[in-house]
Amino acid sequence: MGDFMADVSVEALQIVKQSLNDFRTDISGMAGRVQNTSDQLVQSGLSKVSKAQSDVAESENKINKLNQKIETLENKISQISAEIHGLENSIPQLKQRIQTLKQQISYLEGQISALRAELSSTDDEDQRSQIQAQIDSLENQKSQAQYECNDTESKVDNSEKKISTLRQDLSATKSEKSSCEAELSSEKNRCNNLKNKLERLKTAFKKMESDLQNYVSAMKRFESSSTSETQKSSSAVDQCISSIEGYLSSPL
Amino acid sequence: MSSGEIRKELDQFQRSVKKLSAGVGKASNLWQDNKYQELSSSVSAVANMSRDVILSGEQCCSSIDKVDKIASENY
Repeated sequence: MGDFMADVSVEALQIVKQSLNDFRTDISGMAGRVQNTSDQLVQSGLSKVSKAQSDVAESENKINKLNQKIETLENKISQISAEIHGLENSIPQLKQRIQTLKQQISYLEGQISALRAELSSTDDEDQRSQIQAQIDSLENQKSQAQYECNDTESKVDNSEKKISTLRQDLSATKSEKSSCEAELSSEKNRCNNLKNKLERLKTAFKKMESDLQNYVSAMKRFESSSTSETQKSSSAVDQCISSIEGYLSSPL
Repeated sequence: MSSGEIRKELDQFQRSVKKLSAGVGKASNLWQDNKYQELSSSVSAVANMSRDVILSGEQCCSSIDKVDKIASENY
């Protein structure tokens, strides 16, 4: 392009020169800008991978907490069931004791009644005194038996009330456990989806990173090659313009 | 940050290459010898080189969109 060119006008050369200069200006620094964009995209991608990792960790943590809660609820269910079982077993024994005490009271009442009849038909003071002492002793025994009977009946009543409360508690605990198990199942499913997402995201991110490197390299190669190519052309055009202008200004 | 940035860069890049080809093409009627053919070949070489940039850029956009699509999945 360094030789003088007869079939060209200054106007044509100036158009070409302007186009080459404009192109050089447009392309200049483009590789740097692309590199900057690429770096930002990689950082943005890393943040997305990091967020997906923390989502998985959060879900795994939730699963652990639900497992622990279910274990606690299972222990509570066992404990309540054992308590109900213990109370249920104690009631027949208590009822048996009540039955025995009532029989004992009835027997004592019979004895007392007989002694009172005997007392009313006795005039001897010593004998009356002995009978009265026996009546007092039996009354005392009856009173103790009655007290124990009332106390045992109260225990039965309290045990039955306690069993009723414990059964409600057991039902609520079982219901809570079922709810936790359903939540656990759902969370496990969610966690699998999140793990799958993370793996796919990591793979997609690596591909993106590699593609960005290729893009930046292509732009760097282009900027370097095209700048040198257009520089050469532009210099040649400059020489042509200069030759033509020299030719036109020389005297004929 | 999305593929939109790369797309903008690629659009700008393509416009610059097309502008160069158009500018040099405009001179073809006023410049009709072998030297113009040399220049035209040189510009064609630049346009060919630009294909690598455009293809790799488009590949990037596709990869970035895929990352964004996966990242936007909600569970």
